[in-house]
Amino acid sequence: MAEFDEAAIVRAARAGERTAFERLYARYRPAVRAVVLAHAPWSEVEDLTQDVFMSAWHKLPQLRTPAKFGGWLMQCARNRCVDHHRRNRPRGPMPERGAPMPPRAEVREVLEAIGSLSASYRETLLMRLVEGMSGPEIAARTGLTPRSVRVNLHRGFKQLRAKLEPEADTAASPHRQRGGNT
Amino acid sequence: MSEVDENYLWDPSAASTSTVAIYEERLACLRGPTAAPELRLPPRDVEAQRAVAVNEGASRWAWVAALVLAAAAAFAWWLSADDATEPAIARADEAGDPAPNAALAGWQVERIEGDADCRSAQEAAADRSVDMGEVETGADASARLTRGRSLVEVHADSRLRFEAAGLSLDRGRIWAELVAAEMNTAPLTLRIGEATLQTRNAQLVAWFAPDPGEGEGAGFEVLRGELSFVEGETKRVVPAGEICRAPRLPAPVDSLGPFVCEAPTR
Repeated sequence: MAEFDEAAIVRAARAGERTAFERLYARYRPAVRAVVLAHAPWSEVEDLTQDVFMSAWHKLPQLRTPAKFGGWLMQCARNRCVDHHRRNRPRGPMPERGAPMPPRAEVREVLEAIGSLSASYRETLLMRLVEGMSGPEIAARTGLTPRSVRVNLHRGFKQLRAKLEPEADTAASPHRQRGGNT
Repeated sequence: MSEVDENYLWDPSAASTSTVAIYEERLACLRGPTAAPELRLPPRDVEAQRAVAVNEGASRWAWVAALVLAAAAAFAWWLSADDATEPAIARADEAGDPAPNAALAGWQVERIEGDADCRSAQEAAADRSVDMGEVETGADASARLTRGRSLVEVHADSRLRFEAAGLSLDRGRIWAELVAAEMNTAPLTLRIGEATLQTRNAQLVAWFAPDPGEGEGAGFEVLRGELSFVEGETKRVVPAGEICRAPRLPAPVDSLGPFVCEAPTR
């Protein structure tokens, strides 16, 4: 879908056209789901993802620039996760990752390792490895530049391997890259 | 990481590598359903629909509004340059003398410097039992208020409300020494955004930038004593030396994150 078409769909959805918003929902759902998975407990991902789109439907009229829809929606998803933590944490500091985790140990291990990376690496890697999105798709949905996505994927995957396969990390630089592009 | 790995990471339709594919395979069980669950969209809020209309109209009228605002600002500047107008209720004079004993929930204005307004419902109503008011300072202005052994300095570009329930920092920055009069009286309260601070004896600095683009969010530093901090369901004691900050979450959706406290490294 061309960028011009998408802006027209966002404008239509902003004006209240449900079919247009449903097209955006189908297109952006995997990316939003990955962002939610990067910030919230696995067991809550489906509900929170739906919440993000419901909230976006109501708040969309506040978006002035249709071309920024992707970045705006991803930020809505992050904010929804922050709200979720604020409402649900009993006391004390917010846990880095939520519980419960998926049942299989090997999945838990990878997800925990991804959870220890910086947020930008986490989100990008989950879009690629869980949702199967390509680099250009990730860039188009998040508003990141293709170069930033490539860097996040490269460095994030390298750090992930270093955590899970220390022996395969012999070629890694002693100066670990931290942070990432959001 | 090999070039093949990198190519496959970027483009899943390229020749796959065992390294990346292993992780994909392990995480496949977490992938969302192919057919997305139905989204039952409720009717959009009336106010949100109104915002659409405002947005649509905004671009059309933006130039006209800008011209009108510019003209109004120029007129206001001309008026203020010609004859400094008196504020509605109380204001320090040019010599920086204290405002007339404005009582704000029992707080007394000790000194005002610069352009600051103290609005006290007591003065207006001549009713000594009314117990709320506010101090608002302009650029380069400050105000100092006392009550018993407590002292608050309101810095420039700030607004502090004085209510029966305590102080509320609406905007800007304050320095405060809050000391409860007696052991059997209620602790003193300061609200900053969603957070509530209570203390019987503490010295602190607090700041709050509620609007996007105005600053770093909200925060406070306990300089002496300790206070209890409540935000939502979070409650904890913050001792002297700790700084708590609620950072502004990045645009385009601006809101404050939760307060995070830390002891500064020295």
